[in-house]
Amino acid sequence: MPVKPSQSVLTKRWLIALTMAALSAEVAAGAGTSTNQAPAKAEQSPSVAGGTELSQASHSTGETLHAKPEVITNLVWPAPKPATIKREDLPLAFTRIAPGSVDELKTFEKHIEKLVSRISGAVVAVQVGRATGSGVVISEDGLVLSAAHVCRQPNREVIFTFASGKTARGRTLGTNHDVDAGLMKISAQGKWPHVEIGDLQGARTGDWVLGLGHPGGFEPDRAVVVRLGRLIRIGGASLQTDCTLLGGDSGGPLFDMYGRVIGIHSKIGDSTSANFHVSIQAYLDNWERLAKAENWGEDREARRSRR
Amino acid sequence: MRFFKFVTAGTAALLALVCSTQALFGQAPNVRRPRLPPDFYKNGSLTLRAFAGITERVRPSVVEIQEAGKTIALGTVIEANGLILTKASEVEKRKLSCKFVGGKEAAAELIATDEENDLALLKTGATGLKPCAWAIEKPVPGQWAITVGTEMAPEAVGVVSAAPRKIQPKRAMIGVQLDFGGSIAKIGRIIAGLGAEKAGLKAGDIILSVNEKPVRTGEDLIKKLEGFREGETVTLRIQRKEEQFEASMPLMVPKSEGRPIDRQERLNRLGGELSERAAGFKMALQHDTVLQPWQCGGPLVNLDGKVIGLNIARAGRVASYALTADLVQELAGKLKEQAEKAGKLNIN
Repeated sequence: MPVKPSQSVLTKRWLIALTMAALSAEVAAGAGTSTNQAPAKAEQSPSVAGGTELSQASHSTGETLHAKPEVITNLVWPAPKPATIKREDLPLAFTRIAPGSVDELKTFEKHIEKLVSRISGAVVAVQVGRATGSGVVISEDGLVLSAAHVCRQPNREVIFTFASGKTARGRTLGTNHDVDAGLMKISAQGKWPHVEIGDLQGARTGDWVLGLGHPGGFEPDRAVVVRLGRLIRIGGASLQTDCTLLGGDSGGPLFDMYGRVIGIHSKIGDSTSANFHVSIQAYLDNWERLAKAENWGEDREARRSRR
Repeated sequence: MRFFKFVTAGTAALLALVCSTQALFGQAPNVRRPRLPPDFYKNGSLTLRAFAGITERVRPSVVEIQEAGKTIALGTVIEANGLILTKASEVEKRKLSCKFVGGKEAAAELIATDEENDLALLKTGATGLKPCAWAIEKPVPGQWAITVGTEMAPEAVGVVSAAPRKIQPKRAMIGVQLDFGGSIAKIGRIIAGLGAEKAGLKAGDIILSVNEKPVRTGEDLIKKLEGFREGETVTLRIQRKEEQFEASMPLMVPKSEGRPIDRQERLNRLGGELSERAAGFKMALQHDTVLQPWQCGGPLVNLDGKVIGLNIARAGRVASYALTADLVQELAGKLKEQAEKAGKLNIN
């Protein structure tokens, strides 16, 4: 008879990060096919250019402006805003403790299928050095959320692969190793398929979630891998769900039923219900530092965990 | 706080559950959200209950295949006169019986095998069975995937994770991990139990050629070895310190029960046992249902109770595979022909 996933006591020792590092001789040649994008241009800094323009303007008028000292922000990319939702927009099947009838299951299913086709395009496989993982594009100009342990350090080259097989190049930005949050940016200009981020204000344990990513690395004839689960635990910086994860999923997105990113895959434990995701809140709390490509924090789990 | 299981779905019981869980789920703004109890997990008893109506219609077409009273696989009824499909590698060379819904048992005989596709055809003495109904639509990522057994609740549920595709067989290997530090094919680690170890290769050895063809880099070695299959032998020229020598070894596919060959393999096994034969399928859909190996061989159905696939393997922590309905029907036809030629199709 089926054994339900055990609620094993999880000591931090057993948390295992989900990067895939290509070491094995038998691993197929990596996802980094030659890019078909134009070579990455030196990154523009529009805000600095804007600052210069402003100061030039004030000189030319000759007026003594009673102006506040110009605050030239170095922030190239402002923090994304969580998309607002109305909880009553969701079918009943999602807000009840469990779906109650086949009709509810059908509504549920239609909703999920539509979501999957809408969000899959924004999920990327990423390669940073020898490590492979996943990411999700959250802005049209190509900001990508991923995991710190995939990025490792700021300013490293990244190869992004979309579900279609299209590739792009970019760089890692900030890495917060305290909570495993990492940011990346696609260098090439373009209108990149992207998704909204969410917030956890109204989130409840039991909420249904979808985990997408590239467990085992990118496979050309397999788009993204979809997993359904529920929020088991909501922590300050991390979420636990029963969406099963595997090496290669690191950095991939956890979606709520509105199609907003609320988590980023990070670690697993022994049991199939031990899947841990960085909370989206962790990205919003320290957005500036991530956007400015800072590196901070210490991966305490890795230090304590056995190999 | 423990949650008791519900046997009946009476309204009063449901109301009671809703009331008591309001206390659990009702959120005061600053109260820490409580942990979800296992009964509410995706495969918790409460979630599975919603599928009971579907399971009820399908389970007459499912059997438990047993050996000495122990269930070793599930089976899918494809014809009323006792023809059953299942996963071949779980049932070969065993004395089999079938257990039906309601507890009835009957002896079962393996009458045809398709090893390439890991399918087997069984004949059981029972007649008047309800054959399964096949789905016509192609499976879509996100749709429900229900694994039905002989019980009232499904064995487990999940969603289709990836559209049907060919699942490559496990690669045969000599059993080395390369040290990618330099630009030569240098062994970083010997994988226990495979050909390289048995041939006496060691970490630090440099592989100069494969079957007399010079090897320049690690990537070059991988490419050269890719062409070989399980059982074939390669002769490598090795450099160890100042000496050179030759070593021959067969390529082997690591066993699922052996030591994991690398970290990814180790992670893949976290959370449960895997099927021994879990790769090399012509056309399979992938789903995220947590299955045990013995839960393979039976039907995977949609919300209409139609079969979208035959569960063929628990392949890893995130993946279960099901041969697509189209493929299974095609292969079933060939299995019947095979059994007929062997004179086994119409035995009593």
